[in-house]
Amino acid sequence: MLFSQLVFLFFLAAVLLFLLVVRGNRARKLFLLAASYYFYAYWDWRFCSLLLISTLVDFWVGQGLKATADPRRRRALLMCSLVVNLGLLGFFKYFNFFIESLQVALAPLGWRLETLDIILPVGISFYTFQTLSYTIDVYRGRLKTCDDFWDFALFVSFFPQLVAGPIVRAADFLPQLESTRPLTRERFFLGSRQFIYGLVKKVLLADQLAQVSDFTFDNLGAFDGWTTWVGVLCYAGQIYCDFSGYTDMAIGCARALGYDLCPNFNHPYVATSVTEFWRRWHISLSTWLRDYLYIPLGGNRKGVRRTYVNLMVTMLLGGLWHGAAWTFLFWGGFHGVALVIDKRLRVFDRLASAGLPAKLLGWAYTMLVVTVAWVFFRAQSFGDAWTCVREMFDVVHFGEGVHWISTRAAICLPVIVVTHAISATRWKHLPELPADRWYTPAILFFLIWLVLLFRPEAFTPFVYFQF
Amino acid sequence: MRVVLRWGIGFVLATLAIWCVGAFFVSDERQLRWNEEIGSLVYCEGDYDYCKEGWGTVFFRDDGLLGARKPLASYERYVVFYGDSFVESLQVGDSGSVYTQFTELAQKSGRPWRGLAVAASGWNLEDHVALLPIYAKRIPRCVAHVIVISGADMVRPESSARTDPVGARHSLTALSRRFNAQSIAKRWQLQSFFVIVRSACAAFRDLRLRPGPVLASANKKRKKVCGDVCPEYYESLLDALQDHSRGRRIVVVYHSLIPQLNHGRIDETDPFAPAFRQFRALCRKRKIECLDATPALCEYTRRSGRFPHGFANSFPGQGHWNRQGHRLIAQVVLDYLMASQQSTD
Repeated sequence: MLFSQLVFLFFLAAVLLFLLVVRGNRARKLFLLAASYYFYAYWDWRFCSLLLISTLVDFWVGQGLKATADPRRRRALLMCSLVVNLGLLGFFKYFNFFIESLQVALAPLGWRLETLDIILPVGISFYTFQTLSYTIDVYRGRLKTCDDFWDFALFVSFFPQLVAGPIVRAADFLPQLESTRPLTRERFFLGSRQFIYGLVKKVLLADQLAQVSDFTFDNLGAFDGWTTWVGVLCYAGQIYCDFSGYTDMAIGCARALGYDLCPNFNHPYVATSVTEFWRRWHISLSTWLRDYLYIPLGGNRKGVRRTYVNLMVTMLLGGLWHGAAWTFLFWGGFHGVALVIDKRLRVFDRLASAGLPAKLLGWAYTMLVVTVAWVFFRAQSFGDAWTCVREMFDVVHFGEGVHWISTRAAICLPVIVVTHAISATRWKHLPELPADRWYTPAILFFLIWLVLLFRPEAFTPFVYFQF
Repeated sequence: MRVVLRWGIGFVLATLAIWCVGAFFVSDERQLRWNEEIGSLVYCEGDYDYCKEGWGTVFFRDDGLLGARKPLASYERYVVFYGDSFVESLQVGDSGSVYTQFTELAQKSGRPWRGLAVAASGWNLEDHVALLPIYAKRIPRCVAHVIVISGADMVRPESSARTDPVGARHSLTALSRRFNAQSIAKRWQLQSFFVIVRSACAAFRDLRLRPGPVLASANKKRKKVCGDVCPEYYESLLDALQDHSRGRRIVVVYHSLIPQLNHGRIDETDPFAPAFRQFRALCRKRKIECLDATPALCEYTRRSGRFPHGFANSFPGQGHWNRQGHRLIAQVVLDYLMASQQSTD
């Protein structure tokens, strides 16, 4: 069940109707929990058991941490949570990757290892990180243990953010479950508005750009430099609109249901440094990695060299989190190196007080780094990625090959550029249509009509579902 | 109450806006009507705009002919192309079509030949065989009748039944409208936006057409040529074509989906080649000239790195011929006609 499918709208309408009819907080929460499990089971009911295991283990660990002050016992409980959660994630997501990598390494010895036919449970990376954050925060004493199992189960499985984030912290979400959430007209309007914006990003931009980028990446080696650049930029636009569109829909859904989720994007392509990019892109993941990996490793408190090592380790693991492939690892490492350079040259701090030309230079450099990194993120193999990068930068043969500038790219890319440019000006609140203006309903209905007209005929899942 | 009213008005306004955009811009949704004189279904007369792959405007005459706005002149010598959506040339417009480019190329070569076309999406050999004698009578000074068939026709024996009146229960009349949203869009340079909107609004009814009276002859049952078994089917069609060819030059031009982009390589493997070889053998047996245009198309791609199929709005190597594809086909036909004229001389 995708947010952009009609069946989801029926499902959401039914959930909203029930919440409007039922006033009790307990009943509402139990219904939302059942709805969330139904939502997950709609994809594959067997993997509800994984969700339940994660929930049970972390709830039990939380209770155990509350019951004991013995550091060794507490550490053992934390290890238990880490082993179960990361074990499940490792098996379902990385087992075949490690086996295949080992196969390559052991091939000269003539050893052969068999891979397993494993289906990746949708959203496992997201809810694993979410439950881990709860356990770690409780272990650190920064969060009160949740004593209500049903509340905790709803925190793990809350359907708007279950399959592709944002990665919600227990400290942000659990307090919202303590009292009956208001279902006001204003919340419904704000939620619906954000949901429609997300739908527009997904259907009108991401799905259109995907056609260009898919064709480009399926035929790497055939195009001239311009076409390859346009194809890669289309992918940059696609992945932003796809993921931030999903996030907008998730936040909008949750808001209409009475709950607030943290923002996940803040116009990342206006960033003037790679450091700033990561403060604007997938914010819930980057802050998770910062709080639960980078800082525990020592952050920047243990000297310059150790800071760089910590950054590289964090970004490499961040890359691997996205997918079980060497290209993802390289993508993470590439960003890691860029962040190290940023830190070394203090780009972020210097640009904060710099003039417009320096900021534009910083923006161009950041876009170059991010765009080239997307090539490794999207390509099926290093060979493909290398072919693409060569086509982009081979000045001698830049004009050789098939030339194709798609109309979709010519229309959708400027829309992304304009929306990003507006966000950097004093008109940044322009897209926030006020509820009390006469034109707001007409514009929102117009957008809905456009979405209905352009809805894809084929099944087009969100890119981040695979992670 | 006020809120409900505001949202209701908003819904009506948005629906009206989108309906206007869609309705005014769906002139590529052509409507067939029964033409008593021709004895066939033809499109309503008028300019049709297309924007799904490439974009252009094609003028469909009342008698179903493409490529001539004025009445046919008795002193002109015509070459008539029969075909499907490729020859219909909606993707490139009249100016880039095979028949217009044929005229230009012929004039450059010193031949006073004018290209015309009888074509519609989905028509196949069965339709062409049915239509050829009708138009042969209407255009007596015809240099050649060129039947353009695609690879897909080789494995699609059933007729699209465009010439079958069943289903033509209504007649439609075109309305004229000078100022429509398209001219406003062009004036405001908004064409690229409307290209996208229009292409997605195909479900809207074309406002330029109004229903007219149903003609009695439209309900006349037409005899089907044959069943759907390929060799027998083609043999019967080619027999019929051979009958029509007495005193007329008939040329069949074959083209296929190649060359295509396939995983970064130029793919010249024609999936319909075996079927075409059988078809060509049947043509030769009946002394019907059958040209293969695919080598010319492939050669062009090898030489230039460009594809004869595909547009900015679609994908290179896929879909209908682009302007260059039309030119290549026109050149193949012209070369053949010139060579055969020289050999006759």
